[in-house]
Amino acid sequence: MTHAIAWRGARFRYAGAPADALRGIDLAIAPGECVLLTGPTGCGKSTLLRTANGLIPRESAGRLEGRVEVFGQDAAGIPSPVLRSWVGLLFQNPEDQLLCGRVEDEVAFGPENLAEPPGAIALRVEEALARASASAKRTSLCAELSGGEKQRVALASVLALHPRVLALDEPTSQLDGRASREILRSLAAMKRELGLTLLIAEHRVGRVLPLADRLVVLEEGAVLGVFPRERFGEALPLLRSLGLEAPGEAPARAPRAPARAEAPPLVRFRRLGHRYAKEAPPALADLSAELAPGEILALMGPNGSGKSTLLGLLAGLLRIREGEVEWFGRPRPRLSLSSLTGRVGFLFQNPDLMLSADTVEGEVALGPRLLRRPAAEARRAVARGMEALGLPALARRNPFSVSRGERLRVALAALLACGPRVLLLDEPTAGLDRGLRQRLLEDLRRWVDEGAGERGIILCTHDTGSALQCADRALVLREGRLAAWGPAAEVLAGAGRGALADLEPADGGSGP
Amino acid sequence: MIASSRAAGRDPRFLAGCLLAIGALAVALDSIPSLGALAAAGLGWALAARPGWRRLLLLAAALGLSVWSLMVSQAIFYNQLPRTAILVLAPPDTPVIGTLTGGLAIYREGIWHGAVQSLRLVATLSAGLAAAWTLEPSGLLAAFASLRLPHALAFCATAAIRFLPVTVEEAHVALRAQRMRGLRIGGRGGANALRALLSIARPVLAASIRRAETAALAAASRGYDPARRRTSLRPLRMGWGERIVLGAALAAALAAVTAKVLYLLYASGLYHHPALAALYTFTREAL
Repeated sequence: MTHAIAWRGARFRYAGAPADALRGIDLAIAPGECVLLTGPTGCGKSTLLRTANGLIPRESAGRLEGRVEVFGQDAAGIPSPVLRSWVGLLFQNPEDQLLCGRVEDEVAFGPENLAEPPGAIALRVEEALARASASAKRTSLCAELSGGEKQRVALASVLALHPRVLALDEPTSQLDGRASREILRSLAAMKRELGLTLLIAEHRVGRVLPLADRLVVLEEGAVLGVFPRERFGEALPLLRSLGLEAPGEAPARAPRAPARAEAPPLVRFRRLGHRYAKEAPPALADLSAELAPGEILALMGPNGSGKSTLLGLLAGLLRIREGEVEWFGRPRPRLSLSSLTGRVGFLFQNPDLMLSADTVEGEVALGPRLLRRPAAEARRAVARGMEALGLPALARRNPFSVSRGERLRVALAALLACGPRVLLLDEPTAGLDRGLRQRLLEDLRRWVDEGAGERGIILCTHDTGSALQCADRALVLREGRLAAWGPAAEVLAGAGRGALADLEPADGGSGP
Repeated sequence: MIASSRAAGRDPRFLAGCLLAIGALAVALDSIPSLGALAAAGLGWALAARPGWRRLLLLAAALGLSVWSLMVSQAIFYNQLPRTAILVLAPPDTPVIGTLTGGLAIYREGIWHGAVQSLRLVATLSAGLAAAWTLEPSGLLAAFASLRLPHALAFCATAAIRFLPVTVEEAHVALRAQRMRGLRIGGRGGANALRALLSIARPVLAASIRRAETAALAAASRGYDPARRRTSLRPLRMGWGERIVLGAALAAALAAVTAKVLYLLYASGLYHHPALAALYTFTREAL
């Protein structure tokens, strides 16, 4: 049988890297099969996908040994346009791969590169948009789409090449539960109706497993195990040992100190609302809740539900026009960014944008220096921040040279060194594998518990498991309004159903 | 925000040609009535692009501030001769200012000169904004191909237009992140502002480089190769209306530049032909 893709002893090392990213991969994928690749961050999933459509080694500096075959031919001998039309590749972040202004131009980009005639391009665009359930957005501007819609357009732009294999690199990592389910449903339909071969790299195994025929577990560039559908259960111990999410497993709730219910809330907001323009629908409406001392509050909801708007209002990044906000028991009608400096830390969705120093230690020390803290106090704060996030070993490294998980920890340590009482965290767990996520959540919980009931966190997340693991209460938004509010365990028990249909159930079992 | 030019039936080559013609006319013309007509054409084009109120506000602010600063600076600091003072602001014997500057006044010729410069600016700025508002980045690829210019240049321009708003937003986030950690922007004679700029430059640059790499890989993975021929979903076709407008604009620009060159040759005594006497008069009085 001719395989769709086969790696024969494939080994790859990026130029200048100390070790191989792929170490002798032997794996064959049958036409029409769906293979789920999983493994911890940095295990080589993305590198393997890129060897399938020739981006590696053709567009990446490095050395590939062994052989990659695509439909029985050596990939090295297949011309790039042909290879890329056979194996379509969808990247992790849709924001970075949409190149054109308008949706139909984006989808047409691939067929235009293949020099198809205009009539054929129009047909391909129409068909690809329909397959990705994005026809309604044909004339929209890419910049105006939601995260889920962008991912659909990115998928359509790959489908327009008429690929025989679709390689997807964490296609749902930036999406909420509902958008993830919709994308996976589209993929399932394409596999069924077109016989498309699917190769999906994903660390959230539970999401994709119902679609997969085989599960391949990678670690440090090597295949650790291959499990066909009927033996998926045997993979669970291996997944657990690698710190990966095992499907059907709800995360354990960490033990925690009780919140100080008698003390005034750290932040309280009443009837809060916001519109980005006068004629626009409300991004947030009539919202009232609070963060108690010693509490972690999970702020949840689908993309565009108003989570970031609420954080922006609380942090003084947006002007409060409707409703009231009280910080530390004091009403703040004219809340501004500078009025909370040093007492409230805000971790933005992309922590890389918060890094500006030459070394990790310099980054952590920057806040206390800007706040003009006395030298001895600043030194203690830096040491505490570094220690709390396990960073002393990286102290002299450049913050941009460490891994994504480590960069996140550096940004968080830099906030902690400023001595805040409250942290506002915007999607800190997005894109992290289970091991990194777990460690981060434990650190956050510890920081709150060590604060003797004086600290609190508002944690904005899509991830029900993370919220359940560390949050005391959960506030769920939908279209800018309150959908649910109460103890996390009670609220999140209803995830994936009814009013909380947009949320993914805690066990990750939300496949297509 | 980028609107669709091709959806509105306009061709990027038409936009580029019109901009070229307006730019050439703005340089060639000197008389206030003719520059006024050119400025009106530029403004008309900007309004025809149906800008929202935000863009209108932006246009009004950009034009208002530029015209005001040009007029005031030219009216007060005009130093060519002859010049006629129509209002004395500070006589030469005024302590400090008068002694230092030799006196300040508003000069009639300065106002005239300021008006000429302002009208040039209004024409080119309005036309430039109109073209930017109605240009579809992907149309650039087809336009460059039809003009036989390198694809790679068009791809760079397209990506820059597409990702510019993302980069601006990231600069905002980086600045906010630093401010929340105590960074001050105002005061200390601009030193704080410079420090703020440096502190956001690194993360924004790093993010841009990372995004550029992903975008390049995404383009390559969809078969983009600058060395290969590509086609277009909507091949560029300039309508008759566009051809006529563009032809007229380019012809007017060519005629004005030619007339101006001939007049300058005549005025400087380098070349003179009696048959062109009427053209010299027309250029001096109307252009």
